[in-house]
Amino acid sequence: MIDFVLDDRMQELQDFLHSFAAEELRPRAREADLRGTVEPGVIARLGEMAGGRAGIVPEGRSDGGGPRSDGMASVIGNEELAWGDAAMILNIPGPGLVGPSINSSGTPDQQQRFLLDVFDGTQPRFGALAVTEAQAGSDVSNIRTTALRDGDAWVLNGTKVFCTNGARADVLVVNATIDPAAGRAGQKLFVVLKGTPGMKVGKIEKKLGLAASETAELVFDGCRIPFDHILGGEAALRPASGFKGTMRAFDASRPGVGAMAVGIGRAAFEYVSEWSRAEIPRHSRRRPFVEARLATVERELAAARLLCRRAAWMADNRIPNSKEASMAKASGPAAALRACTSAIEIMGPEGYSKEHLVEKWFRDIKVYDIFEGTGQIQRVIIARHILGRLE
Amino acid sequence: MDLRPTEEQQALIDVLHDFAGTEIRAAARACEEAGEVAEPIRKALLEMGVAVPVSEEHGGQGSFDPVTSLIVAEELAWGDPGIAYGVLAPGVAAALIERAGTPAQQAELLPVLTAGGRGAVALAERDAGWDVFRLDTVAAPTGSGAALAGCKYAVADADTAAVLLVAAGGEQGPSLWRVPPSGGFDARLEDKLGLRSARTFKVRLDGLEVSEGDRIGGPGGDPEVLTRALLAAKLVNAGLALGLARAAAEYAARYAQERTAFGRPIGAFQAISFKIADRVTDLEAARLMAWEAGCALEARRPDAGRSVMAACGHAVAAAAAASDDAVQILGGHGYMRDHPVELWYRDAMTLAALDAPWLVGDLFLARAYEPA
Repeated sequence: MIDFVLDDRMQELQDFLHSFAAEELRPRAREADLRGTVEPGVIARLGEMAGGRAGIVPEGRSDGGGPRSDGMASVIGNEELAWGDAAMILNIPGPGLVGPSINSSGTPDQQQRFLLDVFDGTQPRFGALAVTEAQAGSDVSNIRTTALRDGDAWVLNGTKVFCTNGARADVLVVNATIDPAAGRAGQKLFVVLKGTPGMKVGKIEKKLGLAASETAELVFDGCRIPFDHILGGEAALRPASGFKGTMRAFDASRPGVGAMAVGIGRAAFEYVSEWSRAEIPRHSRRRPFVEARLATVERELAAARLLCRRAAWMADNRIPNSKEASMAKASGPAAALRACTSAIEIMGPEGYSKEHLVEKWFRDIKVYDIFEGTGQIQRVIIARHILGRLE
Repeated sequence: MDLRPTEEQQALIDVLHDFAGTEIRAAARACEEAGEVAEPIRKALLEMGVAVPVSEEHGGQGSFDPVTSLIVAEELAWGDPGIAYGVLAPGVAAALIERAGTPAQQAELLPVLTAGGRGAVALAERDAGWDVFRLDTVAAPTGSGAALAGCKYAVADADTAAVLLVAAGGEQGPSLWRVPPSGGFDARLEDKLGLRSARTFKVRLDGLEVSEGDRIGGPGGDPEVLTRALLAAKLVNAGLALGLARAAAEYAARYAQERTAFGRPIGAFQAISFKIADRVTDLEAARLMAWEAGCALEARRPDAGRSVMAACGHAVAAAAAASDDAVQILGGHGYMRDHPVELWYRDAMTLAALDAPWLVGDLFLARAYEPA
């Protein structure tokens, strides 16, 4: 029966993470943004506080063994956390995007070794997904990093860019091709653990927003990893399983990313609503325009939030959700971007001032329409589901 | 959270989709020409228990919760929005009586409607649109009842309605009155841009006297119950808009797959495919919002009004955009009456004028940002 009520577990998670975001993340947002980093002591503390919480360590395993999708927790949790601060959230220890990758493509043994054993809550640990290359962004099939078999090992060569938490990651999931001539069919996912010889950290990017989040270049130069680090094991050697694995991981992570965007948009929307109530006189000629704009922003954020929740609900109920995940990912950032630009326009010169966080939210939100598949790529995917592949 | 319709709802969707795809689609142009819903369609939907869904107790085949009403409106409007508007009008009046009326009013009026008598609620106004919280129609107390004054739009079959309800505003919230079928008001047939299959009237009330017994819910009626019932009536518009948006998006998508230009199906061009992706995304988001609003009404959530306003706004905006893009994607063909998209385009604008999503829905939401 159609019903939108969050169950007690989700409600509790939302309440917990909201206070966590309000007390621990938001107050640190500006300083971290100015410094471009978060102090290790703060990271450790965030890890301790967050330990074991589903929204922060989104994918767990049910007692029965197999991977349990907890997309709803990630959607609910990510909105609250990003409402607190989008850059801080990426500094909360946890598997991040390798969670969905390993859960959707890894064997049970790999899930145990690379997720549960590593992310056991004893100390702050990070995961990072290395997909993008300088010449292959949205066109993931165009990557050049190779993984060639050498006895009982794989040897990785290539350079990955824009990798969130790439330099500090304990567990990296890297996509590489085992057969450059095979196109997509040759692409597989590999686990590379921290300190593996042949992996070097290159440039750490300076960015428009999310300044306090680490974005790294990773260079693989004859990097040898054990044979069983190919996600999915032997079965992954079948043609076409790897690229689909990467795409499946996106289906799992995109609703959560859309929800983060909604969280940022909501932060800006709430802030500017409060500000307008206090600062724009009741009879100002600007008032009706401001109010109408805020209403549109509220409506669009509500729509995007529901699209994110639907996609997560489908994933949790094992209903294929590729189209819906893309709708969530397309809508969240668009609605949030409108919220942030509206906030700055409404506040005028106050809006661009660093006295307020709205200019930061405006800088932070833009990348949400770019990473994890640009808004355009989401539309390509949605259209393909509706129209089929037209040539 | 759960997004699966119940088995009953799914069965209803299947039956109505089939009916809409055959009977309603086939009759759409003829009904538009005639300016009214063809009798066989009205009769069939009445017999299915869809046109006037009231409980068995009152002579019907079962009443609908707000989400089911949305599903019904969507399927029928997917067939034709004007026919859906016209056919559902008596049911909207019946639902108001069943939700907010006294037992005596239910016993008197509901059997009239289930037997096929025409009925409607006069709600929409020029300035308030369907904003049930800010209606300008006045119900001035007369001692024994009230004198109704105001002007209503898009009132279905106002000249022949056996049960005609008039919604009025006021300090204590909205009130709803049954007016005598004999008249005492000025009803002028609307010659409209769209929704032409619905035979609707502009109704002017100039101090029409009604008795306290004509007040739906009686003198002691709970204003919150009535407000929720009126919001549920408004939410049906979202269902109509959803069906319209879906029809237009589907039609445009099929055309984009088949029509070739520059050696390729036009859907292979992103200028076209992105429009379709965006319109379907809008539509699906609007459907979720409408369902959510229906659940909020059913659960008597205090913020249900906000959800209804936002949902109607989003749905009507989705319908307007989908039909606009559908005409654009069909190009010159879209402008011609050989295809239904020009009809949906007119229907969407008419619905937008009535429901006024930006001026009514968003401005309702906007009141929350006014200074205390």
